[in-house]
Amino acid sequence: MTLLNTDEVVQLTQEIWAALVAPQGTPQLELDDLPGHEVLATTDITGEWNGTVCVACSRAAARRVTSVMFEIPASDLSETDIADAVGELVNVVGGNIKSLLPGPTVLSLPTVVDSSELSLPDHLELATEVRFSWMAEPVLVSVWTALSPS
Amino acid sequence: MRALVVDDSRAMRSILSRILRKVGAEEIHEAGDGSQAVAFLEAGASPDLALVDWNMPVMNGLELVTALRSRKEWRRIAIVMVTTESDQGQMVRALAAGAHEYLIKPFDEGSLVEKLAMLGFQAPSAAAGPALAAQEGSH
Repeated sequence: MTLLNTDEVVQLTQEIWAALVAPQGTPQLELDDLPGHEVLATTDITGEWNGTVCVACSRAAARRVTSVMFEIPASDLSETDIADAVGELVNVVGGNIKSLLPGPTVLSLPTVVDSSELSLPDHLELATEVRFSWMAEPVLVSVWTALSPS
Repeated sequence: MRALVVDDSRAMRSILSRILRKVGAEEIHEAGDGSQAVAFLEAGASPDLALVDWNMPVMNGLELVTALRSRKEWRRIAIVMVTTESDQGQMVRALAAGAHEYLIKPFDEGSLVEKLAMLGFQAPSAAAGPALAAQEGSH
């Protein structure tokens, strides 16, 4: 059973971008698999539904998001700033996806890593994935269902 | 107005603080979780308003709201929950615990400004001439 449809994920992602990163426009659907998802942010949903929400983007996109949220020039940002801003982004995306899923559920605090440092666990199965292009940079939102132990 | 912004994200605190400055906040303090906020208040701070996230480490927003309502000297602080938690039950819990308003992330600036105005916090120019402010805002 599909719990989420792509349109919902597209809409909420664009609304979140419009609210948090307003001056820079919203991400647009991208059919091609743009390379360079270097920054990976995740948050877990547990309870009536279990799984993980991921936002992955290029380092350039992460810097731009962070620059807008902090109103600091991209050249002055630290890695901590970037992790904080992208973490908040996945927190808001995850919270809004959580509201579309069966509840009650609890949202974890976000985790942000260099994508080369993390591979998602085997017990997660891809439920929905939406590729975006934002300022010619890749942004990927994906939702993974935790499989019940057999 | 003196405001306290409690959110584990510095980026979100930055966004909220900018909006508060626009509505005339004279002092804005930030805390990364509920326990930092409590420590700040116990040190003698006396904000008029607290913007409080729900999901935070150490002490979450609901626990903070409960703590703020447990002490007589803190009960005058107006509380707006600003959170991704959109479940109706959680909203009811926060309001029952003592939050005055509830705003779901993502929010636009106008929504927060509106909530603040409902609590009596607005920019001096808006307070002096709401009709003009509304007219300007519609352009």
